[in-house]
Amino acid sequence: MPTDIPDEVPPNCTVYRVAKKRDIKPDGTPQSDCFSDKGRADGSAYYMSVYFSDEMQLAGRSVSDLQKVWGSEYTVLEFRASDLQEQGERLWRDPTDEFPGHGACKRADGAERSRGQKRKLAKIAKVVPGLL
Amino acid sequence: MTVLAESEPIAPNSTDAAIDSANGSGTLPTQIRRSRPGPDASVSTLLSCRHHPPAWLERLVLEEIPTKDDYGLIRLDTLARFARICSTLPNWTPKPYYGVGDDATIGAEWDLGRFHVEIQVGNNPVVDSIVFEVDKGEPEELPLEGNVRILAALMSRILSD
Repeated sequence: MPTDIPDEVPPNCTVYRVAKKRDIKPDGTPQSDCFSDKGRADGSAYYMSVYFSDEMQLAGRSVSDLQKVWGSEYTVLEFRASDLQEQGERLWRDPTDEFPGHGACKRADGAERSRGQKRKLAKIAKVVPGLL
Repeated sequence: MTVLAESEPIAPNSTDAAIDSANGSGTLPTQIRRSRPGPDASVSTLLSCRHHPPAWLERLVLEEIPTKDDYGLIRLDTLARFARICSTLPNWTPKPYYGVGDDATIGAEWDLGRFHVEIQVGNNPVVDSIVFEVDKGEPEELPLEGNVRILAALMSRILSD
């Protein structure tokens, strides 16, 4: 991770979540299924993968680049970090080699995200314009 | 002497017993392996009992949800439980938007005018739930266990409005 990026995700940082286009409803809103934590091999849930705009920008990568890496069957949803935190989510940086800005999102209390909590995220998520 | 569940005999036509034995360990009884999605699948047997389920349900359970399960997360008993729950809905219930979550859950959601209804059924039944919302307000969440009749009644009431 670049040294001039703060460990803590700033509240005004844009947070991206990659989702399958088939899980976006005809009115342009995502289904709640888009906001599940990824399971470990033993079946327990871990976290939901996200990408942070500040690191992406520093690496010279755009949200369109992010979509291209995932493929044409995917779209990208966006939030403000503060909106997720207000919903009880915790965000942290979790760099990977595949694309800059990778991070994690999980319930702040460590619990598995309930269907109602997924629904709340679905209501505040927006598809990045032009990427559907 | 310890007897492994997989080696216990399963009575013919005992679909529920067979499903209860299907634990996703890759050691499914022969009866289940033969009945993995296809025209004779166990969920099909479930759908043909007691209720007149919505017309979209059989295809959804046997073909469409497995197609969206990219990583093969959903166990057969989870799919069967989802089928059982949906089979209690009024048969004029419209087809939902549906998906498979990375946390091994099946989701189904309906946007019905002022109302929004969702259900979730997971490999871990503890996460099974109903979400209900009116006029895009705060989502209300209930466990599915013990409330399947409420779901059916709620849907019936919404659809008759």
